[in-house]
Amino acid sequence: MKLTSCLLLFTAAVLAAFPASAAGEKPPGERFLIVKEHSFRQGVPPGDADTGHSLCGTRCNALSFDYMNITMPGGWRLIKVKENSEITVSLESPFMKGECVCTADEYTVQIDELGRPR
Amino acid sequence: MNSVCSVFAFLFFLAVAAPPSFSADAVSAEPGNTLSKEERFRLGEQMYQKGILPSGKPMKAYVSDDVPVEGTAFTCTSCHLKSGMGSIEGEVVTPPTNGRILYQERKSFKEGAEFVPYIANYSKYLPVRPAYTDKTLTELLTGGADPTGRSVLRAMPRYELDDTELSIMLEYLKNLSDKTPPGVEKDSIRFATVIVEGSDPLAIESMLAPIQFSVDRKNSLAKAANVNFRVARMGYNMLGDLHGYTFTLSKWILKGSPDTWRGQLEEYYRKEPVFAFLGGISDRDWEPVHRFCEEKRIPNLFPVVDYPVISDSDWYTIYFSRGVRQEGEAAARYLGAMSTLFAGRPVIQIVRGTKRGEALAAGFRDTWKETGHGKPKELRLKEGEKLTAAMIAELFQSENPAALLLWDDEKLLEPLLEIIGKRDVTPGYIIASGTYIGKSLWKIPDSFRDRIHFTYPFRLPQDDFRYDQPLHKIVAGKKPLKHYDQAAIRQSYITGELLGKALMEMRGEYFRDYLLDTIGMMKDMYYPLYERVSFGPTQRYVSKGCYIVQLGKGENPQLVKKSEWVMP
Amino acid sequence: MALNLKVFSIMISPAILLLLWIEPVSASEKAYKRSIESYTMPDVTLVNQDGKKIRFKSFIESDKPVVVDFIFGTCTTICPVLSAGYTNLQKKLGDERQKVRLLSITIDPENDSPKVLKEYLARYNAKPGWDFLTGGRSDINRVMNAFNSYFRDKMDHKPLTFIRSPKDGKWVRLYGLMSSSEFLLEYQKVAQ
Repeated sequence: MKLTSCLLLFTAAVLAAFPASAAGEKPPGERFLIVKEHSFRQGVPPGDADTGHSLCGTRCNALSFDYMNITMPGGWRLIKVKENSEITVSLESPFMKGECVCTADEYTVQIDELGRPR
Repeated sequence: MNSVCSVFAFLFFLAVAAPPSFSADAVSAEPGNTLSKEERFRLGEQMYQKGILPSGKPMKAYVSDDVPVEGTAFTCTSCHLKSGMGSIEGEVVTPPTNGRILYQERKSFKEGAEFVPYIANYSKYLPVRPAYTDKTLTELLTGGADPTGRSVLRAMPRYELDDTELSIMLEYLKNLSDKTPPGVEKDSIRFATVIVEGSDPLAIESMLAPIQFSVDRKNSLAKAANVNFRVARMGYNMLGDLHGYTFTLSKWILKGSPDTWRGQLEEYYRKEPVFAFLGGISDRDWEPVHRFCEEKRIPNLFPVVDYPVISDSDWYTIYFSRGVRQEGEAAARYLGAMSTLFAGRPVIQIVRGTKRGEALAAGFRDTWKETGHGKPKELRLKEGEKLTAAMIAELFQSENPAALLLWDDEKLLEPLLEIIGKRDVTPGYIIASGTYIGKSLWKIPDSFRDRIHFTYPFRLPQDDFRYDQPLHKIVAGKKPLKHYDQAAIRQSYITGELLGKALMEMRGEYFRDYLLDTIGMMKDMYYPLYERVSFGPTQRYVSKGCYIVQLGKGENPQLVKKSEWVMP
Repeated sequence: MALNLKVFSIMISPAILLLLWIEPVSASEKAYKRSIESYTMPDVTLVNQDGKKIRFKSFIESDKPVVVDFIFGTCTTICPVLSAGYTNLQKKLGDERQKVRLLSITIDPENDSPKVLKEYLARYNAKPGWDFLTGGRSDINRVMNAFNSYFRDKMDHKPLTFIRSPKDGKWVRLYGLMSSSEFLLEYQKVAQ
């Protein structure tokens, strides 16, 4: 067998090793956010701005997904559907009032057909 | 050369090019030889790993040619790693520094492995050089020039070492990753898995299934390669000599009290020395097995245990996480970020006096203290003692806590919900353990869900399903995945994956420390169960994260993240 | 599965890719690269070695020169060299070391708790004026992106140092392992 055939075999093995998508287990179309920045909007009574900003970091980052967790199993792709959405959430702190404005890109999950057995 | 020839060439190379034997005796004429062989080894190891001279002082090093640094900040281990087999980080390749390889000429290829891509690519990016001698190696260590005259000082320090120190160092390097370790034979590698009797049979079965699957698959490849030259060629091109190796997996059952385990392990090991322990399971202690591995220098990859040994310096056991206590630690980090708002109100832990309850509380307490918050107040419940709404109410009344940690199982829910439903005064935060409370978490009524936070040390279920596909393959032909222990089977899947990946990247150098060094150099991985597992040359708990979650609204609620996976 | 032929092929591919791109940085054959860049800092909160919260953007936009590198606690080859450069700079500056803000930012926030950061700094005899920052992974990613230095993985790490001039807010980007005298010279060019 020539080297090129070996390479072809190798490539085929690589492609085949990507698991087929788990279609049918859960409908596609879920939306995911990847948060890019955040800001803190003071409530009444106003609290410490730096602490508010830091807690909003936690709040907004909790809405965000690590894209690797969605794409790494193979067969899943993220398609950007909206850029720079502003999502306002409550700070949800019993100690401090205020809101967090999270700026995020929105993605939808698409099942990659490439690795699917036919 | 065709592949079959190259296989033979490689095997021939293995057979005739036995590594030169270096022993302490070879340098017995050197200074410092009044010390025993063991003592010289210990001192050499201390210099190599810690940068400390036999005198106890730090080694003196100069980095980037001219910056004086203490050897403790710039040890040999930092770059060449514990095994001496070198490292790859970003664009920087650090070559092996063990005597067996140093004292051989380095060519731009590895003989016999010219057509194995991952070995050939590695070899051609290291500069060629003649074989080192004691003299040229001394010049490298003290002057920073290799035998070709090339300076290495941009990346490697030069060290100030006297003759005795040099002879001890050279002797250490000559013995580093030199002798084939127990459990590795010409064409097979032996492994064992340690099972503590009394552990949940389903968890044992679930722990074993993925590891046995890996071993069986590997052995099928070796068998197929033996009878089919195309399989052999493909296997060889991908794995080098590893494709022909067979693996064995023995089950070592530990019975009785933990203080007898050591003797049992000794006996098993005497009868069958193994290269490494894979997995393993205990529903209680693991420390005796951990200690045995440290003493015998046996790697133990990922035992399925809730209470791993926590250490910054132990080397031989790699755990999935810091165990149950990691949830307590996460709760402390989450609350720590807002503690300036507590205005003197205390943080209180209600702790069930079980191993699990105590581990959660200890995790919280230690991290809370470490982050400068002092000691939290604690209320202990005996193992069978009933937690009542009145007890919680009394605490709220008398202490007015900023946060209440409830480390108990599902029994905490009834009194807690009763009290939350009735009273106006509640603490700022109520946090419980998602794993301790178990499936009851899903039964919390809608109106209470935003009042209680949970620690959850896994990827959320609504996201983890994407990773199920390979698990279905493991159980194919047996029973459905849902009938296994869901955590144990996923954990052991990770063990099987990492073992294969690590052995492949070892380039035929099957040394125990190198197995651990190789895992330490791996990139972050995305596997079932944990949001992310990450490694590092000395990191021993690969999943570092834990979410703080709440149960969402609705009839079929999902968990909702309230924090990131890892909090600073 | 791990030892399945197919999956081995998957495992092998990153290894091949990695090794194909390796250019060993060793000896003095290869000099570092220097360029002038403009960067916009993200407004995120990070945590230093003492567990203290740092509002990153305002911390960076200082009236002192600021030096930034990306390292991590269990790093092998690159970080010791970079950190020895910081140690040496502080030593050379002596009492004047407070005139510069040295910042190391971890690219392994998974492992690098304030405790790990503190131990790391102690190993390199760091004096006040050298802070080592960690934070949430998303925030650390934002900082890396701001410097156009996103490493998807800590093992893809590159030797990069950045020096910010307080005069115009511009950054000198230095790519490669420098000797300490080269680093000192680069610093002095900005500080003058």
